[in-house]
Amino acid sequence: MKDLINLILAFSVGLNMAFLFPQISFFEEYNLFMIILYFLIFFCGLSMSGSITLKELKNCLKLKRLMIPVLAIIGSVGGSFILAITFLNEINIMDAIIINLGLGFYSFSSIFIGQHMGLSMGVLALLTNVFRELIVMIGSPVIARYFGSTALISSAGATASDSALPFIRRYLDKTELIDAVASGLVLTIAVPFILQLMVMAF
Amino acid sequence: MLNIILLIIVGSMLGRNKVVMKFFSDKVINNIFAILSFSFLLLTGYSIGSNPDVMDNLATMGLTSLLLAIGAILGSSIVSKFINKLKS
Repeated sequence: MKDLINLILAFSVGLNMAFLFPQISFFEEYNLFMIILYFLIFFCGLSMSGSITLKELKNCLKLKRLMIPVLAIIGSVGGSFILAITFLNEINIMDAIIINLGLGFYSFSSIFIGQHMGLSMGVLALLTNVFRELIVMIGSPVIARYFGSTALISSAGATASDSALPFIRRYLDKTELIDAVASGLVLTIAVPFILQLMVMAF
Repeated sequence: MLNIILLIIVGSMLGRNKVVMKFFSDKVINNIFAILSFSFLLLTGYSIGSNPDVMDNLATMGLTSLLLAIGAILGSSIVSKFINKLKS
């Protein structure tokens, strides 16, 4: 609970700063955002390797663990399908599925969907995937507690290997951290192909 | 993307070095993570708050996109939990 409050606090302070001081060029000039992310990723690697044995690495090749990216895709499709037929009647079922197949990779999916399905869909894809990343980052303590560590990796989607990694790291053991990096990388590479296929098919 | 893979590899190679790990004990690493992830989330908040594409459309599409995101996260989480239960 304390973690959750800290994370929400950090985010809302940042959000309020954007309203109060909209022109802080210092952040963008030195690309502070990326520098901190790179440090975080470096320390993830550092804390990951410590005591991993070959046997533990072999365990990573089990089917259950290799399935995590597939679970992320099936879950996202299923979730958006159910939402589109229940609460969100104003949005087409296929549109909802394609938007959620961005899997948190908002920089690519918003531009791609905007080009192929219209500007408003692009904006919706941007917002949805930004929200997905944020909810996983901030809500990681809750997801880990109620659904377990695999759920944390699969719900992070393509962001499991970059921006969400430092946040989900606390709730994973060392071998699961490898799963998270692998799953995130596979999905980051797969998202452009999946979206292209979906747009071509529908 | 390549930067991230390289950083993880360099980090994990250094993590095998006992001298380096003596300096970066679990407690030190946890403190570093606490500070860095707080500042990362703060900057994320700042960059989202100053992104006009996001903020201008929040009123019209905010609720739909929030629901879609929650749907995807809940879907993935439930499927993962179900598969975990099946296997164990």
